Amino acid sequence: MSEPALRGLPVPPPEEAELVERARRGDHEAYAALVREHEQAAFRVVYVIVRSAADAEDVAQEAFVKAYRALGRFRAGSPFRPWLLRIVGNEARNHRRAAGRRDFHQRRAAVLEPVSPARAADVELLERESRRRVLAALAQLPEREREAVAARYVAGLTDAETAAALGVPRATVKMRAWRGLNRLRRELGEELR
Amino acid sequence: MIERHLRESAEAWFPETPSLAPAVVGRLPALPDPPARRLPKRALVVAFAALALAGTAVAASVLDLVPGVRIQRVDELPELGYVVPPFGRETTAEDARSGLPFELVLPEALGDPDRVLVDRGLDGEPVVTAVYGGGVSPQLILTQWPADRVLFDKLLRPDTRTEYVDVDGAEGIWIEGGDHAVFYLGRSGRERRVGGYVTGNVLVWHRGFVSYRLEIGASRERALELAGSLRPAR
Repeated sequence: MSEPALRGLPVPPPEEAELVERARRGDHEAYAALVREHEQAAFRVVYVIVRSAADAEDVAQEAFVKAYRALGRFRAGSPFRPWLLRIVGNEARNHRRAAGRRDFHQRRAAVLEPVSPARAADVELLERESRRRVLAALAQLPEREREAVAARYVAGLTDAETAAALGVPRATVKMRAWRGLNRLRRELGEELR
Repeated sequence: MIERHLRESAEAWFPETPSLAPAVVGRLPALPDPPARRLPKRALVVAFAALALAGTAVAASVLDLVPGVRIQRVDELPELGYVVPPFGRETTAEDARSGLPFELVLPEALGDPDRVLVDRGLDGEPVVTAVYGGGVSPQLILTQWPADRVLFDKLLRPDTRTEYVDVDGAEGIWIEGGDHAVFYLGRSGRERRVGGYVTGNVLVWHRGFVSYRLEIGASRERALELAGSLRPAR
């Protein structure tokens, strides 16, 4: 056991740059650590674009494999996450183009389902109802605005990460998110503004 | 409020994140692909610009601070006449303001503009230009647009000075001295760049998702003062 663990301190994870460098030399364990660190952001970005959990898992996996293959092009010293999310976003958009929109309406209907009676009995009923209304309105935004708002505000990415994931300039992210939020405010009325 | 609900809705909106690492690692090749030999992106941009501008020597300097405005240093400007860019159809500030995806602002100290013009960028987003002072030599031209794409392509000779400036809290670039060419890539930009020489000094800056370009035959201090006095148009 390492000395810090003996002292009861958490062992800090190796620095990201070091993990990337090791992965570039073929260290799969180092790359697995990078995947674990970023899999939630990557999965959520894919889900924002493809809107299917099953597809999102496959696409995110494929994107991580492609990112590994492309590590030789990664510029050492630059942040890994925006670079990764650009690859993830590209993969998701390619998938969406290939899959078309055949089951879009089915997925949207699932999002719009009302909360179940069991959940409605929850003490946080009002909060849940507010969120349900917000999410239902979010699901009905125009696609580009929905993607920007979901990635930026629901997934919690930065403007730069959202721009990398969606493959658009930061200014475009800001504009689409601003429009989306305004549309939500108009849709949801005074009490949720 | 809505932002808070959105932030707190991540667990409801997104399915649970599956553990991806085991499946990913099982599919990895032994090593990443070897890096391909590629020209630096900037070299490609400069090369394309040089080709597009037919004989204009482009120096290796591109300023990209302000979204929607691309500034390049060149040794010589291309042969162009002095042309006011076609900023679109003439309208009123009131009409221009309605339906905009951003708040139209104008310099408070100057009163109403002599002309207001509205155009559309290549992506259909509105571009609003306010002109103060009539005739062929306006005293001030203020253009504002959502900076989705490059709208102005500027070429500066070596004797034109540039300076990073603070425009009421926003980052900007002040361009002064010498002739510099401007290519306005409005609705017609897809077919052919339309451009001319700009004899005034220019301040460009970006705030929120909107970029601003102020052309003025006055000092940097006056330009910054006017830029700092922009208020919502009435």
